[in-house]
Amino acid sequence: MGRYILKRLMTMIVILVCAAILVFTLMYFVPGDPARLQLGVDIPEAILQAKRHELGIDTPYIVQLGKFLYNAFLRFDFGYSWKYGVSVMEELIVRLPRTLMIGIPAMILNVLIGTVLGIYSAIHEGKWQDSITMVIAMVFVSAPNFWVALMFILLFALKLNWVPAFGIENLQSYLLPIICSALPGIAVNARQARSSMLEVVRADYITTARAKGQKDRVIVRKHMLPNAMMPIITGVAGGLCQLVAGSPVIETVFSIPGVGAYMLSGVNLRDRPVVCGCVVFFALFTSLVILIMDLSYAFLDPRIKAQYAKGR
Amino acid sequence: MKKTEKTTYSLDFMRRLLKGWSSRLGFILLALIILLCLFGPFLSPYGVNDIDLQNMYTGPCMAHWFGCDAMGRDILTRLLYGGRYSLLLGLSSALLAAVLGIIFGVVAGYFGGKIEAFIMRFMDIWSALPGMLLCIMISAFMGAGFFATVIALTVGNIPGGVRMTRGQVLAERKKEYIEAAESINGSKMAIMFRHLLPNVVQPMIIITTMSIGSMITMAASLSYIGLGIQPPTPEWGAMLADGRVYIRNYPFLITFPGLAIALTVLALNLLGDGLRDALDPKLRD
Amino acid sequence: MKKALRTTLVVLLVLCMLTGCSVTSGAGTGTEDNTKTASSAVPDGTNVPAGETAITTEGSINDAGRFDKVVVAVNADPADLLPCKPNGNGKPKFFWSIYEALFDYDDENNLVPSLASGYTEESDTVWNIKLFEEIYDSEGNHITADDVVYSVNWLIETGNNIKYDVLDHVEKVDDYTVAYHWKEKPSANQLEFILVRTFIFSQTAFENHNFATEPVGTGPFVVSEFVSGSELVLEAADDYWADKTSEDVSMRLGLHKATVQTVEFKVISEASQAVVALEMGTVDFCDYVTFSMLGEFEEGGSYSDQYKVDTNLSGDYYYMMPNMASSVIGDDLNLRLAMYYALDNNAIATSMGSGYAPLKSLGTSYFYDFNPEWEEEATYVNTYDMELAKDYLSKSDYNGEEIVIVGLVNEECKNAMTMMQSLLAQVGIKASIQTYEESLMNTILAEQTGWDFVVTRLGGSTLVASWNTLFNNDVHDGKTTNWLADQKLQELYETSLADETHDDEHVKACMDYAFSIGDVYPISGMASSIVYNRKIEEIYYREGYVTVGSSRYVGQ
Repeated sequence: MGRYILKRLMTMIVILVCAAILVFTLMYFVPGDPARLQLGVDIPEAILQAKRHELGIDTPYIVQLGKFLYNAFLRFDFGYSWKYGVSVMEELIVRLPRTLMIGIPAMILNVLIGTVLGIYSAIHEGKWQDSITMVIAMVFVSAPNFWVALMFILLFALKLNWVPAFGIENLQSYLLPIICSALPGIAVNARQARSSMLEVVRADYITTARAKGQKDRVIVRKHMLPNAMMPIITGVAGGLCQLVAGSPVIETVFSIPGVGAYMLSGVNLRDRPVVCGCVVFFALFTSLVILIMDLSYAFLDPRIKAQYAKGR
Repeated sequence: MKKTEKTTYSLDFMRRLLKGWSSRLGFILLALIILLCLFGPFLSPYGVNDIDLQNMYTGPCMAHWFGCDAMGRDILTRLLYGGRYSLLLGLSSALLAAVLGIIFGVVAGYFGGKIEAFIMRFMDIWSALPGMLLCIMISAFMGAGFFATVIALTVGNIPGGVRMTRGQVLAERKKEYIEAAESINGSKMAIMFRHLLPNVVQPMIIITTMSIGSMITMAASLSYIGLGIQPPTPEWGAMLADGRVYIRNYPFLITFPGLAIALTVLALNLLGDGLRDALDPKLRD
Repeated sequence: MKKALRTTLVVLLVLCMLTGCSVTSGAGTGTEDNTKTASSAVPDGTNVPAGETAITTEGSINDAGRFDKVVVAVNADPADLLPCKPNGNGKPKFFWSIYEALFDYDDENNLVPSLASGYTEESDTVWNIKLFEEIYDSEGNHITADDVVYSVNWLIETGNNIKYDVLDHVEKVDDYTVAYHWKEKPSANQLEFILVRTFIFSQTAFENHNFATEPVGTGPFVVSEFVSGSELVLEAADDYWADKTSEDVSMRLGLHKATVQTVEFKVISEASQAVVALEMGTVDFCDYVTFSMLGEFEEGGSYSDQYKVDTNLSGDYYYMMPNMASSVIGDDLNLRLAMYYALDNNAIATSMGSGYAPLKSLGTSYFYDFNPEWEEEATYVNTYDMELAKDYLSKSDYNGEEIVIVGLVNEECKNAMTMMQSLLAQVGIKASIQTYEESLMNTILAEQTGWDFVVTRLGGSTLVASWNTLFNNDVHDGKTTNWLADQKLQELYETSLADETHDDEHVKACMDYAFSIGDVYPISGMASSIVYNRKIEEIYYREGYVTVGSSRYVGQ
């Protein structure tokens, strides 16, 4: 088991490095001159050259790539933002809690409400409760989340004044972003939970348990849930990654200075250190989440656990 | 007396597709939207880019059912016209992603070994970068415009398709008819594309239909954050972005484009659900 | 079990909603520390019924004679606080409260002492600038000539020395005198960035602190908190050197005075959200409220008893510039003229919004070196003539090619370009639009291909200063920003810039020539509106920029 984890970690690092190279290369070839970016349009060439030298971008591609990888992975230093001159790593550390403040509670909401709704639907399969729940879920999956966010802002913040519409000045400001981020996920999780519950319900061992006279409630708890958990966990992990990845949009709508907004501004300004830093961070986050997800499969499903124990 | 119904697979399929009320709704809704977007602009008395500075920010009224935007252009007309772009964007990127995904998935699954390992590792790296982020970066890289946006949208969705197809291929590969084809020295290409492909394509159809919806939403998101389609093209997301500033005074600027996206994606998702149920052999009568 | 789960969830949600409600009403009592509302300055803590928020115009003057707090909304992320590039990212609002330069500009762009008490011209190319002798920064470091030399050289070494061409080098003469060696006799214009926009700071402080996040300046305010992308808090410096010096500092601008104890800058990127903040009293000042939302703060509006609105002409204006290296329009004067006559500034300005007035000539009356009489003369700027346009079009070599217009990504620029596209289409010219962020635009313009026209904005302290981007040919080695190599234009431009010939006749000559070669098309001038709480009685303007920290408040 330990060997398996080690192997996975190694693979993860390789993947991260490759992802970093990919991003760096993409941004390298993106049109745009950082010196001009910083200084302006009517600056003569000589001053621009000096600036380029200072930024370290007048060396060949390989040299820059090498420096970047070395700094990023061995010294955890992504350099300084070309536009603002602030250390990318420091900025990320400051902004990360804000993004997580939205992502993690949203994920918790996803799981709780989504699973509950899904189970509820599955139990009442075919009846009106099922249909209504699924329709509502469907609606929230379909509507673009930034539009729903705008509508919510309009209603709850601007017209009713229940919560702040923007920014991060107090805890309440996170309420609306969390809810808006969670909604599509709730819907997806509900549908997912429902279908896995249904599959399990039809399974033979449930019929056996019922035939034995076991109470429904106990059946749900002891038999249905553990088996339905696995796809749910997949949903959770996937959802968490989605949330973090979708953060640029939500953070733009609510003016939250988190990692997503940082990356977006980096892209808009062709600020390579910022973009590389953010992407590597996201990639790291995603990989970790997937790793944890795979490991939890092992704990939940004895069949998989056996497989891992043997050493894949 | 009961007539014996002669059914073919396709007819049977259509019947099952439209059986549930939700998929029927999705189908009708989608058909309606497509028809409106194709023919609507011709029926409208206003041009898409007809600037009318007297009517800036007019609210919904008899002359303009959905109101006018910042330059006095009729919103309903622009919505219908922009729908073509949104639908086309969603469709082309979903199809492109599906095609590429299937090709790579079949190749990976059939050949196995080093080729498979290489492709799958590459997909792993690819998917370590969250889709939206890839979209944003590629959009910045390729610039703005329709074609660039299609590429950006496609790129994020290929790994999923590859994985799914490869999984299917791995399952199918072991079956006897493949063994039979190989034993009579069928060419590898022929085996892959004439025998394997039709059988593994099924789940991809469902996924592709669902992904059209998410592509449309992502295209809208891209426009919303400033990448993607350029003005004055009335892409739905761009209309949302433009109206955002006036959310307090003229909320209708964002209500209608958002509704348009929501309804279209809803229709697609309902249809996709119905498709899945219709194609699922376990649910056949 | 599922029932229990459901009930718990519902209860949780309801609790969340309730907390939301109670906090916003708690803000009214001024007891909530979290919500940094202006009303927390209310000493008597008025109790407000739940659901309402108290908006207050009361405040107190503390013992030092300062108003206690003011909150300003900014829409640009201040990013870093290094003492360079003071003209961007919203910095003009607060930078001058933290850092100080050798000189300031008064309203006529004359040099006024700031850290320097004056200068003597030893020769045409050497000026000795004398510092005040008792300058201390907020950490108590004594500012001397060494620090001046250090600050200037830092700027040069880091490549931030914009418009420093005329400076050869600086050297210390004695502890409080620095000699500025010029390459040639400098004109008033050339001194702007070197003497007024260069901040002086202590070498010791710079070596011990990262000024990007913890600046140490000599100004009347110090940075007490800085959260990049979110907020910046300034506190009045109790040990401000100018308050304690024995020398005569009366000729310095009123900018160098802290009239408020705490100034808080909040980054609120959306205008609609800033309006909400104003209504709820969490913000006292905003200068980017869109015109459509001004109504409630103006006379007769629901908030007009707490707020005032001032509208000023700003020194910024929008213009369109052709790419003279473009294969389509570069050599084709007739085509350019056709386009200019096809454009109607009135329509374009209307589409940009009510804050924009159409330009009738190359400049606005904001600039003291602009003569409004020039607007009476008929040029392609103030003439909208489709027949004339078609006439020029037929004389040109236009064959239906698509003309690429690049512009800024903001709302008004997009509308302007859309309007222009539509107007051009009316005479049969096909144009396409591409939008970019301002900084990215610079790199687009640095290429000779890929764009035919650019629509962007300009500003400057004087009209001819703003023309640097347009006409100065030192940008691309003998060519201007838009790739034009025209000796005559350069001569006329430099003449109009030189002190002796900086007058109506020469400025107009330059402008007329530019028009004759179709080098620029001015579009609209920006007016800016500021909405501010009535506790500010009189706004202090530094070169047209509002300085909230030095304004006069109720009771002062």
